[in-house]
Amino acid sequence: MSWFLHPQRTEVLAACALVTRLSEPVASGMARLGSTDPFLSRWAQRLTPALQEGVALPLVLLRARLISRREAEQLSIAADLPTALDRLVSASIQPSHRVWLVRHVPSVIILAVMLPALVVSTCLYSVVHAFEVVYRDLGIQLPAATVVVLHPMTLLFALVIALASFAATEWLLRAIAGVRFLCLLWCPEIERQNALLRLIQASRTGDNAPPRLGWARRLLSAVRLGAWSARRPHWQRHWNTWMLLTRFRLDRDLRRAAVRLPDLTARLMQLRLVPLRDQRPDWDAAEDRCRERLALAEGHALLFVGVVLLWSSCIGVFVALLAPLLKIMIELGKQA
Amino acid sequence: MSLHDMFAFISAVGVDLAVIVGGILGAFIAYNIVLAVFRLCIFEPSRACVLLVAESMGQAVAGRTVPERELVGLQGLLPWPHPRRLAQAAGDLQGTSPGTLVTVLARRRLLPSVLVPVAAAAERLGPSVLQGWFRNLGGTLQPRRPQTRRMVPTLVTLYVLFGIGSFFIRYIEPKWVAIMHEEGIQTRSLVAVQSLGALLPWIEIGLAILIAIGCVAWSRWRWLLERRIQGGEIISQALQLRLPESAIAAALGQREGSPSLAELCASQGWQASTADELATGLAQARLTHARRMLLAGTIFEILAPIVLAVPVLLFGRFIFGSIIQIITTLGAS
Repeated sequence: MSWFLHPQRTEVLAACALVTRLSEPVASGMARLGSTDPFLSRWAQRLTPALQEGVALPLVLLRARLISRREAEQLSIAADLPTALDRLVSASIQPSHRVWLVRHVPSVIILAVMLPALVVSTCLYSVVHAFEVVYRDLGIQLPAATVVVLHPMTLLFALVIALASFAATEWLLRAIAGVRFLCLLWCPEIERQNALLRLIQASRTGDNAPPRLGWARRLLSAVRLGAWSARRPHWQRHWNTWMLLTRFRLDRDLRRAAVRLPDLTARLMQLRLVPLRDQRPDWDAAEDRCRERLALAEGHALLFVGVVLLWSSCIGVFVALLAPLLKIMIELGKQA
Repeated sequence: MSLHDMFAFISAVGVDLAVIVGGILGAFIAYNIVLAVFRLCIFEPSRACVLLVAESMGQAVAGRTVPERELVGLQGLLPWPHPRRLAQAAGDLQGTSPGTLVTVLARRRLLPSVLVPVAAAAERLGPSVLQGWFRNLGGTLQPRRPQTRRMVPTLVTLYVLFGIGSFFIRYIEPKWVAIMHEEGIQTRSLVAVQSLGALLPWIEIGLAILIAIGCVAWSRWRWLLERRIQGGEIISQALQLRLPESAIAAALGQREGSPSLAELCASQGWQASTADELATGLAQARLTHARRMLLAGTIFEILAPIVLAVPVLLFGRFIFGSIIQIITTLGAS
């Protein structure tokens, strides 16, 4: 999802889909729904004036940052508006924030180590006069560099620099073709299910347009290093991720036959990833199953990540507490 | 810096980077191989596998789809060795090897062995009962965090403690011993740490073996807990379809003529004389089972951190105490 779109767009789009399915004018339908729901009431007040003026629904939703330009184009040409809105609702449901936590675990670990250390260091620094007295009584001359290193502002600066460099490195690794697969290693099950979910959503919306790349990704793509290609459909990247992680699970002939197909829906059907109901593909069941698997993988990964983060925080606290004591011990040892 | 130095620096960094990346990849591959071999050694299928197979086969038996297609579709969702078993089962169902759906699933280890007689009985009672049984089995195993996974944080914490302890004993403790000998300091805790250092590897290996045995035992035992409920479920399904008691008894493998419903229920561990009583008993048993599991899990999750806190606190006390003791001695001298 683009950062530009509203974070609560799923609920509003679901309400619009409901109203259009009831063949009711959207303006009055939204107002009726808003009368019992304070959240929808705010959105009804925002959307209904334009709708009453006769502005088309896709354009109103686009102006309210509820859909992207591409989605607005899809809605405008859709023969069945409620179904098209339902697909958008399904595609707009994002995985929980905990998935983000697991996927970016190296940066989160840095934060878990340094943040408690920063808090402890700040507490120690606030009683620094007491320490100075102890140091003076013991006859310890702290070098200027040590004082600077123990300063909370220095630690804060180090935290920001470390986080920024880790985030930038991770972004770069994920943006370079081939190398990006290294970032899939610490949570392969989550990456696998996430990629499959994106593929199912892309197949449902029938969106085969290439991705819109920023200048940095365009630059990497121009020098043939980019993981994103402006010439291929946007789902190609998710397909490559899923195929890499699932390669050895699939039957070889079936896999080869699927890769030869140009259409994403045909590939998913070929791999039997979409269950049939009354001889018709049941996309809802496929997506629900994928979300369940993703939630399960997220739960399992969080068990590990939680412990790692807890221990990282403990190590940060211990180091921040032990550093002054070790300093005293080393200085006393030299003097003795 | 000359060009030669710069080249040497870059090549050294490159080698280090390659070693790090190679180490990460190697560790990842080794971890997955260990997990896959461990899964292979466990005879029973995983909970996730049984859940997905039961759901899919429920749909297939209802005639909405083909079982082979569903089994192949599950390959991408389950870890190795399940994809191979699924492919073999799909091949068997396509006619390469004879057998009914349940026998094929049992042969390819996609159903827990203790539930196979129950599934076979459901199959003998007809597709409606089998479909209901698969649906119930899938419903029983709602996707949630399994009980065994609750132990993961505790075990990881234990091994982190072992790791820190080993690092301390190997690299830091000898230097402390040297300082303390120099200053003439003697502590009993240091002696205790030294003796613990000799035991630590054995404790780690013993715990790993215990965990492996526990996992294998639990993988079978948890299905034994389900067997009684699933047996009652079949009788209940068959009664809903108004099948005669004699047919149910025959399907369950009882050779006596025509037992009463109470006898039939008793054979599966239930005390009920009517279908309603059995349904109520089943619902009650499910609720009790879920409550017990939740209670056990909650107690474990509360107790485990408290128990683990003891060695952490002792270790922290020892380190801080030793540092303070050294500082005091050094200050006094």
